Amino acid sequence: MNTDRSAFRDRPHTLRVHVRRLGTDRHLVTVVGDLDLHTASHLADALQPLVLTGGHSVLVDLSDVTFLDSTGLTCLIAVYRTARSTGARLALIAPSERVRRMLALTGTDQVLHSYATVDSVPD
Amino acid sequence: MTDSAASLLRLMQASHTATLEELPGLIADHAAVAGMHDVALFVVDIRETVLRRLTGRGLGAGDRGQEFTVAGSLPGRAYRRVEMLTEPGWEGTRDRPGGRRWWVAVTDGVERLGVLRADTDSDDEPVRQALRDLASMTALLLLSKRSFSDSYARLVRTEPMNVAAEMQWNLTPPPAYAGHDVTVGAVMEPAYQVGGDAFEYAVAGSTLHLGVFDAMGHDTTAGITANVAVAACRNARRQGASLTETSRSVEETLIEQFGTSRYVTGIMADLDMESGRLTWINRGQHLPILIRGNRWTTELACPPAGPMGADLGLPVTTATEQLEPGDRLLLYTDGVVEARDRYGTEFGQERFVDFIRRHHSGRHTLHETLRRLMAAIMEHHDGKLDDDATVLLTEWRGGHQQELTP
Repeated sequence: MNTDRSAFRDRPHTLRVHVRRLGTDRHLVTVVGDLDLHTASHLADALQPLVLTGGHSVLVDLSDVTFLDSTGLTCLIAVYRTARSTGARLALIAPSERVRRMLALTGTDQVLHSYATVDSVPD
Repeated sequence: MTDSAASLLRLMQASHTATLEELPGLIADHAAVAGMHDVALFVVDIRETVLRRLTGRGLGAGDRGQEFTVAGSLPGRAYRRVEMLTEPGWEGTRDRPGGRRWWVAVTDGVERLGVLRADTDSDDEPVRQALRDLASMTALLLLSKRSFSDSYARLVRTEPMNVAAEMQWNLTPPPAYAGHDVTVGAVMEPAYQVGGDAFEYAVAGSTLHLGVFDAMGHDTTAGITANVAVAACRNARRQGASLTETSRSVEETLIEQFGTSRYVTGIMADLDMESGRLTWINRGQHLPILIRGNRWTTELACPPAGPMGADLGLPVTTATEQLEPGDRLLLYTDGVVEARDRYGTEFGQERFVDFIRRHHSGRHTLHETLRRLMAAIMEHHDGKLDDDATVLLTEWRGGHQQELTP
């Protein structure tokens, strides 16, 4: 366990973002890793173009996001605001406990809705 | 009038046109008239780890000066306990054999600025009173010169500072306040590399305004954002705005300045210091913690209205709470509990609250408790904190002002 733990600070801050098209106006973006100061811009680059079209749905799977800091949250809020202005829809899929806590703490969960699975997001 | 009192008055008058660099000499000369010899002044660094002698020499006013640690020295003990201590085994100097060497905490009654060293021939109550008076006057003189002294700013730093920290230490009020049945203490880390944290308190009549702010991000712009937020908050408040109106005004100002890119979370509260009634709003920061006696702890509840500047359109709820005498209110930002050490472990809310309860239970003053808390948090992070951590601790004693221990 210790070898695992001691690696925490030294390991690179990585975030993997995978975009998959589910339909003509529906995308699933799967995010894996730490969403923080070092990686948030990477996610913003992937999400912003997807929410520029009104009527599009962007589902963001956050089940494997282990850490979310204020910069990461800023990125999500900025994308939400773009979506709100263009008429696109942004939904979160199965955010991890850590992410849910941060969303609830700030009140962001009241505008950025979460769903357990991709299938449970209403059309 | 005693020699001691007369010399203090002359010292006060002579100080009007003196610079910070001239204070040690001025104070020593006037103290000598009243029988306190070889007076030396030591000021504490912003992280409260060392006491550095203010020699008045060099650009940092501390050239060729001695230094003591706060944690492990006799002068440090006088500082920690806000006491007057004599040096054990002191045999005097060649010029002045025998007598006593004293170490006296320099405080304006609330904020601890450092310690003062003085030698006297005897030890009786008038001598002790003269030392207390001298330390008190020294504190006021230091405070009157500090705001425009670069030497002071240099002397109290042990590391280079980033631009955001340079702004934040000018933005925030002094880290300690006491009066009107209330004691307030504040700490902010990493002291030299702050990102977007800020704390605020201010008194108007019987109202104590309180606030903690966290501008999202860790760059210089986060520091600028925090400055804009606190300035907008003060501006609205001073024009009579309610808490809700104030937070909306902060939101509008942030959107005006930064468009949609910068947000600030925070808690803003008003405490009526006479009745103990607390009103507050939540703009997406950790909920305040109330510690009652040493047994009962609770998180106060209020739905978050979203970060200021994010324009989420959520309603702002004003929550109220009736405090009891002796209650302590903790406002804090996420770095205190959530920043992770090199093993990925958080300091955690339980450890945080437990630390305050254990240390601030008669054994240590409120400010000493906060100093120890930040030292413990920094130690948890091997001296390198990744996120900003701010604590604003308020104790309301309602009608027990004389028992306040700053």
